[in-house]
Amino acid sequence: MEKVHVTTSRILTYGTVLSLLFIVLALIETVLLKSSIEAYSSVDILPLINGLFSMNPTDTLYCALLVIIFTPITSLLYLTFFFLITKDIPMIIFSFTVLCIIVSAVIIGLGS
Amino acid sequence: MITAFALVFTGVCVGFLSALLGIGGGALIIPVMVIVFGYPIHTAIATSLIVIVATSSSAASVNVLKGLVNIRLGIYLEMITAAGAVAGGLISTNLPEKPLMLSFSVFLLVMAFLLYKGTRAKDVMEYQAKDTSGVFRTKFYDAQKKDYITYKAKNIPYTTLLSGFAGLISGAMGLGGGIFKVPAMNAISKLPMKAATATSNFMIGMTASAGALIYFKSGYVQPLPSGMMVIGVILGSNISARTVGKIKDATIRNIFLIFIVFVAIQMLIRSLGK
Repeated sequence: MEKVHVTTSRILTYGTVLSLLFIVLALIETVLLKSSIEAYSSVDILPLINGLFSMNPTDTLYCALLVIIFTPITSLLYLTFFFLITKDIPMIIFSFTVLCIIVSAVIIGLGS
Repeated sequence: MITAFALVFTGVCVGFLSALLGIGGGALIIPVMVIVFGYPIHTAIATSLIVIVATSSSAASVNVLKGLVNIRLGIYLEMITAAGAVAGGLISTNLPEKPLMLSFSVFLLVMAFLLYKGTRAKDVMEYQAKDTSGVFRTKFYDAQKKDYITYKAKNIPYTTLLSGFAGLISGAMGLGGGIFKVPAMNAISKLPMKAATATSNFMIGMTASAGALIYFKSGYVQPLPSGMMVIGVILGSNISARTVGKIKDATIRNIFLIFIVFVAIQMLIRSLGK
């Protein structure tokens, strides 16, 4: 098995596991702190990270969802980097274009 | 508490079926969330997109390692699919609920038709040419045949077009779009079914993540149901991966076909009501 496959697989596995851990952590926080999980009308990343460290279960759960959303994007980032190293020109163009499209979605969706 | 457990259980069922059928699972999640749990359709779509990413990441982590995913073809097709998903997400958040529900029910009926046709598709391997040169050629080890399968993707422009449409549907309706991409890669680009479903699954995560980010900002994401469903689908996918060999694919497809038609009619009635 090629190294690119192994590394991509690991990124996807770690992302899934980390997200699951955050979900479990949010549920534990809810029980221990006797607080509830409420939905926000809009979400920004920085306050979520602050909330994660201050043990806010809602923010922790939102972080879990962000981790799972960014997992395939991270694997794509790695693949783009891999194609750059191996100088695979067509694949550099394809993967970079996909990244640009997704980044534009990030700007639209999470832009401050 | 009961709702939370019901959502996890739903996630397990969806994850199990999605892994069996090689789709994201949006076609199952959205109707269940709207009809059974009573969530607004935009919330259901947002949850669905997140759950699709979870299912995709979980399944792709195994499929990539097995070499079943054609990474090069997947990334190439993803260019237009991701663009379609962003456009679909933008259109959807500005649409009223009933037209969206109506279009979703029509889409479900189209999916049912594609599945019906899919059950009668020939084995694609008989079309495979000996020529295995080109950018999108690759090979994987088929455990059933106990041999390496080398293949080359064909008719790329047509598959690209269908992938773009799949992306639009994904962003607008919270679906993975696999139901379009798998038949396109299998029937048009002549990929072996296992490679087509695995590559589609790999792509679905990227497409859905682009759409999910739009919903994140719009405030449609309900963290608790989404979190519960994510736990469920990951469990369901794992159970499915262990038992997939014991269930006939045609049986599952037929059950799914009946389910889709039933839900499509239910949603059609709701969208046409007051």
